[in-house]
Amino acid sequence: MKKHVLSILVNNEPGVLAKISGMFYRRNFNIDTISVGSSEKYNHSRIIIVFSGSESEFEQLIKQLHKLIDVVKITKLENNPLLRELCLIKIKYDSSKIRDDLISYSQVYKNKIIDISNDTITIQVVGNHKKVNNFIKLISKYKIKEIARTGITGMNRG
Amino acid sequence: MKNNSKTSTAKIIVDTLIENNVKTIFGYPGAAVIPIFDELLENREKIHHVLVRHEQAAVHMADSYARITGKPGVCIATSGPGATNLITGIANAHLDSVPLIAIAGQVPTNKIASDAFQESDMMGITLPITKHNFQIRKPEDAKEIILKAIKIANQGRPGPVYIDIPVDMQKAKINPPKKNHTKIPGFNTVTKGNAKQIKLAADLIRKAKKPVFFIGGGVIKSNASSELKKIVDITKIPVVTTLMGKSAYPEDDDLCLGMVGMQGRKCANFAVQKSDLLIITGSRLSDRSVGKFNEFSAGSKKIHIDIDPAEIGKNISIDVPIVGDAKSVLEDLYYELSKNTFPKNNSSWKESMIRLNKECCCSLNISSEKISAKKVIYELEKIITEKDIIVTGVGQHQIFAAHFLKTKKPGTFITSGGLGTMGYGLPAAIGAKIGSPEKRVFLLDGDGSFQMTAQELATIKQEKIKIIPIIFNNSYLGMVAQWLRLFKNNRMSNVYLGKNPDFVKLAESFSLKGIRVDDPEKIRDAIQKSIESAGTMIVEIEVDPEENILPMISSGNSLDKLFGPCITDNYFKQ
Repeated sequence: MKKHVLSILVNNEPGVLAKISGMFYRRNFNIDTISVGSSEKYNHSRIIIVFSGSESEFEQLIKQLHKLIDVVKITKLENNPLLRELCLIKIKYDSSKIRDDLISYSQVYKNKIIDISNDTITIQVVGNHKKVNNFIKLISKYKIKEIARTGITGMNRG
Repeated sequence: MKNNSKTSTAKIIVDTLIENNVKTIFGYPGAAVIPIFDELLENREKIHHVLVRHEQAAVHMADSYARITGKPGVCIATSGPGATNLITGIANAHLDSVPLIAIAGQVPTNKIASDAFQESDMMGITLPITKHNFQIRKPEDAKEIILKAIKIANQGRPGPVYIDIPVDMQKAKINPPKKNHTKIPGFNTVTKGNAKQIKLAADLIRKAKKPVFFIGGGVIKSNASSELKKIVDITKIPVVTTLMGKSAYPEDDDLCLGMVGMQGRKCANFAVQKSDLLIITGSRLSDRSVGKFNEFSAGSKKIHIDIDPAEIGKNISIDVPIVGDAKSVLEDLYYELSKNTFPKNNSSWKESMIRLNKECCCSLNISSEKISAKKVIYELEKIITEKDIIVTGVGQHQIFAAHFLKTKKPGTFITSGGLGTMGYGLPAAIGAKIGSPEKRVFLLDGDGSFQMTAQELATIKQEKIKIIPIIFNNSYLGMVAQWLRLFKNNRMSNVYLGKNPDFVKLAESFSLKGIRVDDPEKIRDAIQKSIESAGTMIVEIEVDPEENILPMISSGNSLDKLFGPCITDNYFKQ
């Protein structure tokens, strides 16, 4: 199962997200991540979805998206596209050794420490999906209290 | 009013419908649509409102009105229960690709999401069963939304559009905006087929030894029947139709093998399974038409012509996809094929299909003590002409009609195909009659299906509608009973409708007439009486409750697993 990424320009109106996610549910499409935000165009939002499936399933997904009236434009993100994800990780620590370890790991990964308390440290990871996964794997031996990820956003190069 | 140039949104809405040639609207009033109904009263000379007895009937009437006229049908209901009663009909129109505008009132905007009296989230409920839905949130948008809804319902593959109108939006008074933006970015329809693909298709058709046209409802919707006929005339390719495609090609032609599918004709299923080239046009290849997906016509190459690209390759993989309007594509295909004399590659196939078609016909003139549904069809064939409209309910009678009754003109067979909505028949017959008042409309219905919307006899009386309803009464939910007989060892769970009303008295209680038939020799007379009667006269025919409509395939099987009488030898093994 290949991963496919789509950038979808949609009308920014109430209910549009429901129409799109409803179609995914109704048509049995399995969406890995979805991220929504404003776009360069007035009154339009951009949705980035990551979809795992065969080539023919992917084509059917695009056709079904095209049928939705609120979908204005669909772009495949391909040929090594620019893909980024933001992840926040809160970790509990009970020794300064652990805290310092986490700080130095973060430095290697060019992460940011965005909050620190007597017993927790919160790290911001930005990068592609793989980088985020790798970092989470690296620190998985520690006591992770909470992870929040945005899902992937991105665009084609050039 | 005169010193005030402001107009109510309700007026704008009704005016917009009138400006767009909407002459009939089917509906039922209620608190949340009073402003619109007030305007309907004001404009009753220009737009006729048909008052139904249940909102489901309004949407079915609008649905068949649209099928008959080719224009979107419009229906209206109040918020909450009024709107939810539309749902079955909207889903029906969605699955059969019928252009429909369903309008419902809504609680005032400041009460939305408060669980107010008669509030329901219709935007959420209609989302999966409409082509699109709108809620009017600004009175200035009202006109634009109505115009867009009409465009969306009509353009490309037709479908239902739902419009939710909060009652305060209807009352609002505004200066109508000078301009309305009806452009819908990203909503484009490809109607003309790709020339290269059409050439490719023509080449395959020339070379094919066993080609078959597989025709769906899209051919009727795009008025492509004459183009199809022209191609068949030069190529002599046999035609099968789905239930929705019935009447797209004249069924008295030797090359028309009739309905294909789960309850299709044997010759049609055989042709499809043995074919080396299927030319699928305007069909979404539903399970009921193609049987088991991966055993569907396994040896054939497949050309698929459809206006909805998402239907191509959805259920069955396709070799030559052609996105476009059936009429335009078939026209281009005809041009391609008529350039040179058509080769005789398929002539032996054609001959054997014509022979098979004849062998496949069993006699309908059955003289049994209990009336066979086939006998009713036999008598109807003698009465019905190509100018008449046939409307059916859902059940055994529907398949008897689809299987045996020959239609000759496109669009003369109105039935609920995709959703299989019992209760569709009576309101649909009314909608068909209103859409084509000059035609005779025959309603073929079952006792079960008829009772689901029987209250509309009141609408018939009130609107002075003359239709010819024929009820196949076997006091059973016949199709389910058939399945139980065939697949559940005759365990008759809740299919006996023994306490049916007296349909003659029922008609009389609505100040209509009725006639009952229990003698096969009197069927034709009774139908003739109903035809000649000044008003609507129900013909109730007591048919044999034990009769199955066969052949059929059991659910989930391939098209060649047909069983039942009329199957005389091992065609499929050849």
